[in-house]
Amino acid sequence: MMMTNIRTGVPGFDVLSAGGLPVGRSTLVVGRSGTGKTIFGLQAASSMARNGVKSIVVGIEETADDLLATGDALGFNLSGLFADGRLHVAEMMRPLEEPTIVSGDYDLFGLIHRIEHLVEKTGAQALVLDSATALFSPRPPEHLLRTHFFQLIHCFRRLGLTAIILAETPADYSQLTTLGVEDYVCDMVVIMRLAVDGERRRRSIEIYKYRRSPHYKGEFPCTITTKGLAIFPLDAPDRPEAEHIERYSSGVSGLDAMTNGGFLRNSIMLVRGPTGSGKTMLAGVFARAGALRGERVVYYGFEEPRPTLIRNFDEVGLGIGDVVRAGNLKLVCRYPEATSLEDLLVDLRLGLEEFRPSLVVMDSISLIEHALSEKGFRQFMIGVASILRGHGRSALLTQTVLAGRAPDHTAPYLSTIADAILTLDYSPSAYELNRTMRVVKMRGSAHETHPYRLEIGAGGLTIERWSAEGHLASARAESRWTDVRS
Amino acid sequence: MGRSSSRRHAAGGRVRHRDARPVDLVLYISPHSRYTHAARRNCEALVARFPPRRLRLEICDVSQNPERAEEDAVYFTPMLVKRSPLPRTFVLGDLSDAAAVVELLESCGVSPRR
Repeated sequence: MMMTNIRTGVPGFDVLSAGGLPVGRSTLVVGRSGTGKTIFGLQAASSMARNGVKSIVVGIEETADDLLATGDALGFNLSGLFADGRLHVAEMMRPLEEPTIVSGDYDLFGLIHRIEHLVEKTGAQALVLDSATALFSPRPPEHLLRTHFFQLIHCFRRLGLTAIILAETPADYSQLTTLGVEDYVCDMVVIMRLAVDGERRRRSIEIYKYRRSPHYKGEFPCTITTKGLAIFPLDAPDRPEAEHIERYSSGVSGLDAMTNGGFLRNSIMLVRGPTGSGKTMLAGVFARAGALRGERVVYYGFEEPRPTLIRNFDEVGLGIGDVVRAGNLKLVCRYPEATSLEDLLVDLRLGLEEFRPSLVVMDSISLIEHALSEKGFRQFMIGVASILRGHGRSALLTQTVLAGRAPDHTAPYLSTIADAILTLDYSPSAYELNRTMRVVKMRGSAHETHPYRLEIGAGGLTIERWSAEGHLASARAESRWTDVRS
Repeated sequence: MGRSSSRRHAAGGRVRHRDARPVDLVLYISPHSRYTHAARRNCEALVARFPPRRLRLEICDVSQNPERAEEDAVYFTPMLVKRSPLPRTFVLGDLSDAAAVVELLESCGVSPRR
């Protein structure tokens, strides 16, 4: 079978594009300046070169030295690949300081012949052009521009090159490119964005078009780390171990009973409830029980600083400090307002790769929700789910909702991301605070449908079946109490 | 040859030494370009209007000599490059706007024959 895709090695991109770039065709990567187009190009070129696909980077905007330095700083080892002859960096800058006069019509065959020569000399099969925008300067008249670009793409096609053409766009959500002609003749068009979202910047990537190939549509969060570009697609390849059902204890026997024997591995639990319903306590019990069993656990606390969190757990006899010191539980306390979405995703991913936890806790994702726009939060959650699933990890996420209010109006996609949803609530009784808990959804498992009673006390949480009799008894007590008062 | 003739002019005091050096022109063309024919014709007609000793024209086929084209960072064809005197100047196109090129050459101190 003929190979139709070639992997870029850019984390996440090959998932989004269902296999990578179209072989022997041209891909247009557009974005404003600073969106990471060059990094994408260099990262893909270095990865292809490492995999035995000889690549050329044609620098129109930057010198070869600058491109090599950019790639080396991100660990792509461009210089090494260059020295080995696996990757060639060709500097094709125009001397813009010297005068240029236009006298009549012209075309692009000068560059085309030079590229043909270079391909012949190096045996290259892939090419990155950085960038088309700089190439067409001075900008030819409209009718010529299209012809020029077509000639260039046609040349790449004739040479059998898998090409990545970078082009500048005037704004994040506007006409596709400054030149306005490139996308017609390319088989794949990728848009990179660095949108202002409230007071922060949000990077995203979108496969706008991929001729004759399935791909994921819409914007996906991405980030630029010290190791290059990384994208967080929602869908990660299925992990083999996800096939058989494995349960583990939630840390509370009552909750294990509710969930028909414990939580399922490789699933994301969403715990929803109003402030004071016991979410943080449940998260703490869950994390501590995991660590005491010998699992590695990361707990992201977004609501309070670390000492406060440890003290609060200690207060109810849930000694968490010792577990942290023992090394199995890692507490990461950050204020979402002070960090960027991408940083959190990177942190989560690096944390998963380095600390290798089997359980992840985030308390609470609402803090992030409030710090981001709706779109930004959606992207963040998709990113989180993607990282967790990609690593086959189990997670417990808490979300604060208003008491007695249907939570789904805020972020309906959360229900889809979560494999199981638990809701916590309390009845605003005048006599005592009745905390209740329900399992609303649990993919792949039977679960109880009636509410359980939850109590916070010494040693953490107790969760008990709330029987109809118990409910009636408490209702009677309630009415007696109100009778006495009135 | 050119060098000795320029010395003679300089000695005669009629032309300044700087002006005596010929203007160095290279016309880059491609056999695939539809503008090649017009560019050659326009360029040769233009050069014929000047005293032959004052202009030196070379025609370079980029498809045959791509490495030469690197020196002048050729993207576009046809392209006429005035390599000397400095500043190096690029003229893009089939040279159908002769006035612009004449003006450029005049700025180098050469004038069309009367």
